[in-house]
Amino acid sequence: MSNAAAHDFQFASAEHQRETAISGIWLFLASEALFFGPIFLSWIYARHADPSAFDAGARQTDLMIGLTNTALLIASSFAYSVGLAYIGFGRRRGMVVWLAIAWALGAAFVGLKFGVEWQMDLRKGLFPGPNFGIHGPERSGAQLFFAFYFFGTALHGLHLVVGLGLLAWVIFRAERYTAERHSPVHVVGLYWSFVDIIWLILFPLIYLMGRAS
Amino acid sequence: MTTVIVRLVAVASLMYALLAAELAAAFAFPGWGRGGIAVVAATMAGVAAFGFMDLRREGATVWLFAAAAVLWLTILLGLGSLDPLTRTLYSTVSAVP
Amino acid sequence: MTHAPAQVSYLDDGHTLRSWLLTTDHKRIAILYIVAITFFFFAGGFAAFLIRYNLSSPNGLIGSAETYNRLFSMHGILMVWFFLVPAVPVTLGNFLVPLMLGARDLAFPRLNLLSWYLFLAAGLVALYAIVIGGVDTGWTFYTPLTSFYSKGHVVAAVAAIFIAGFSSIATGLNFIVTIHKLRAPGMTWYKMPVFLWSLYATSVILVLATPVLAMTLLLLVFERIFGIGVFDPAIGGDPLLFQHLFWFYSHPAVYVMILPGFGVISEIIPAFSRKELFGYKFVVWASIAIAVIGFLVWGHHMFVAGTSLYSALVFSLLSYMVAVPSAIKVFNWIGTMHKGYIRFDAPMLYAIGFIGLFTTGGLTGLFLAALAADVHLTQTYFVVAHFHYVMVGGMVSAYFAGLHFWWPKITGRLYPEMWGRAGAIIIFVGFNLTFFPQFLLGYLGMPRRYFAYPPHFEALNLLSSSGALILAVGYILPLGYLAWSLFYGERAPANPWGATGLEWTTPSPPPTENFPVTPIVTQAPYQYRQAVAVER
Repeated sequence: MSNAAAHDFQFASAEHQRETAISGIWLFLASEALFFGPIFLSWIYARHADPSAFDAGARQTDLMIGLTNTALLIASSFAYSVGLAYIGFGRRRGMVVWLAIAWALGAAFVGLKFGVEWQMDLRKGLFPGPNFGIHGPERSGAQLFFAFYFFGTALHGLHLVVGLGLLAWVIFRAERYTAERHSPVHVVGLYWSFVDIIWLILFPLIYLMGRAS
Repeated sequence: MTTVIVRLVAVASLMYALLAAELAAAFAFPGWGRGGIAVVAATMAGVAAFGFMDLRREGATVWLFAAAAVLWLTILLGLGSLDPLTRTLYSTVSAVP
Repeated sequence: MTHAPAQVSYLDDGHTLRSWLLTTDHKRIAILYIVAITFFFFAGGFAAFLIRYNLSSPNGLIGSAETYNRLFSMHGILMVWFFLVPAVPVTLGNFLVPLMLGARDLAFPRLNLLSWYLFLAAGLVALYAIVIGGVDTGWTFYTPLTSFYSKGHVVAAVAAIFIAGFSSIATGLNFIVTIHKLRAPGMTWYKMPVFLWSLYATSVILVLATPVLAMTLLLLVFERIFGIGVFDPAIGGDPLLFQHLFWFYSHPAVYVMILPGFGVISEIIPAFSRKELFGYKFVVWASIAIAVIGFLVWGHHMFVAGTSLYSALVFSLLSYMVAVPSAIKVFNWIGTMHKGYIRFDAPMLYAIGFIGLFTTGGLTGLFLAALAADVHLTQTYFVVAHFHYVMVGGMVSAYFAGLHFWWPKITGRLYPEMWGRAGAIIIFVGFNLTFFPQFLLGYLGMPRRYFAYPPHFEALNLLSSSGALILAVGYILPLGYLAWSLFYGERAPANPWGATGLEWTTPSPPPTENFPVTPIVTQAPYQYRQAVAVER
């Protein structure tokens, strides 16, 4: 009864292969968590050096954009999960629609962050270096904040852009997914939610910690 | 199908509620301090993991991997910050005007 | 329709270049890796040769101090990331993990091939970095030398390591998932040979520590390119943050380098003592303990760097703890040999040498873990001798042990035994002559990474450099007779050593898909007392 091409030769069944793929992506995400670890540790070190100056730098960020972006990514994770649910019931068209919504929300984040927010930050002279716009006793600590900020948002953004590529890939291959066989959709969804989680940690570090009175 | 969608809507709603709580912790309840923000942020990460990534339904292997990630991040951030947090700082003349 | 693969040996299953360069067969990928890391071993070894040549005279014999700095930097970079970290996992590991599990391949064969291409790409970038002049920063890349002052090619060297890191992570991920998911029916966790447990522990480190290095290198490159960053003290940044992040990876990395060696030794000692491994569960959990505790000790590389006394105390205490599981293993290997029927074939000679050399190296690590002693010994040749005893005396011997032990299985040929024994003995003698004097040099105060030295250190340095010549002979010898055996060696039976383990139930060399029928495992490992015939 089993189709000989239903699973790769080293697996006992298609279900075995699916389970293995899911385990694999979770382990990869564990390594990704450690990949972002140094960014979080550098926040701790950088803030500890001169907390008030660091926070003064942090208060130069645009809270509304940060908040909007967070809302966008939560919605995007939600949309992707809905799309995954649809294909779980074999409803390919619903999957494509909701994955496309997830993609658009993610693209909106990228546009807002790099097209709008970074541009504003750079115009205000917030990139650390000799032309840094903040002067006085807070200059060093604030530069340290923005070194963390630009580096962290760049790395996160890079992961988001890779995610957009993966989402597009899954959407374009929609025809081959069925209720029983759609591991790539599941796997990419896990990656997408993970990138969301990284933002959920970066968001307070960037926008809130420095503003908590 | 409907149950799944309803569950996801509940998860998303919870996330937005927590986002509001996070803002409250930062602006309305200074007494909670930065720790309060951190707790809410960690909760949001957990909701994402259980609500969107469906961690609860996965097997022991996946739980092991997820737990390892959390544990090892804790080691990096905890043991890693032990040094700067326990250093004796000697005052110096600042070189930067 | 059943899946019925050909029973032709994996070496004969396709003779085109394409069938090798696009293979997903874990055994062929292991061969591809053997070629690559052998090249890097000799490249790094050549740098070592030049270092010892320079140090045979107090005033130095090679160009300038700058050149010398570049030499020891490239030696370290090549040996750490392009030989020791991959060594056993990507060669013996790739070849044996599916075979020992009773599986037909790894969980992700295409990821395996990708990991080799990543390694190759990294290697090419490293060679490029060397050719355009290399770096003078040491393999440790400390800031602010690397982020600000160095005129070497830091970004190129760092890029090579960054890429190699992804190769490591891919390999580790593949092994962990394979061991969880592809064990043959009946192969419970406690029926796995210790080699698999060792590779599992190694892979945990690869997957969790390497990403930290990757991000740290990116932070370094950002700071070097933009002239400002989180390590920069001018804005309140902390150069020690770099060291903490670097050693968070690099200390566990040394366990990446040695754990697979422990696994190899744990297979060889029972086989050549005709006896069950003593204390199997202790050896298993010692491996896991080393992997975990190994993440908690990195601060011992920074005792004189300016960390707080409190954190130094914590790291010193934890460093003493990490020695315990290694000691347990040494006792268990000796316990295995006790009242066994010992055969002194080449793998066993290497293994016995390993026990002595690794134990010496490990014990000297305890000197360094003591805060007060470390103040005197740090950054001297004592440290250099310590880590060469564990990594070269230990790990390289273990690699050669494993290479000889599984050579018949991998190639289908027997190597000439007398040459194998000769090589093992030459290496043991040459190694001790090279590195024991360095303990004395360090204790007497000779700093490491110095191009020239005061004349009263000359005799010991000359002794060390002479030993290096003997060691070089010992390393080149196997290159000769192993290559010879590929063409003229006696054909190997399935189980020339009479060893236990699923890999020995397949032909030598195995067919492409390993097992025509998935084996069912009923026995615990190392059942040597049940007379397994020695087919020779």
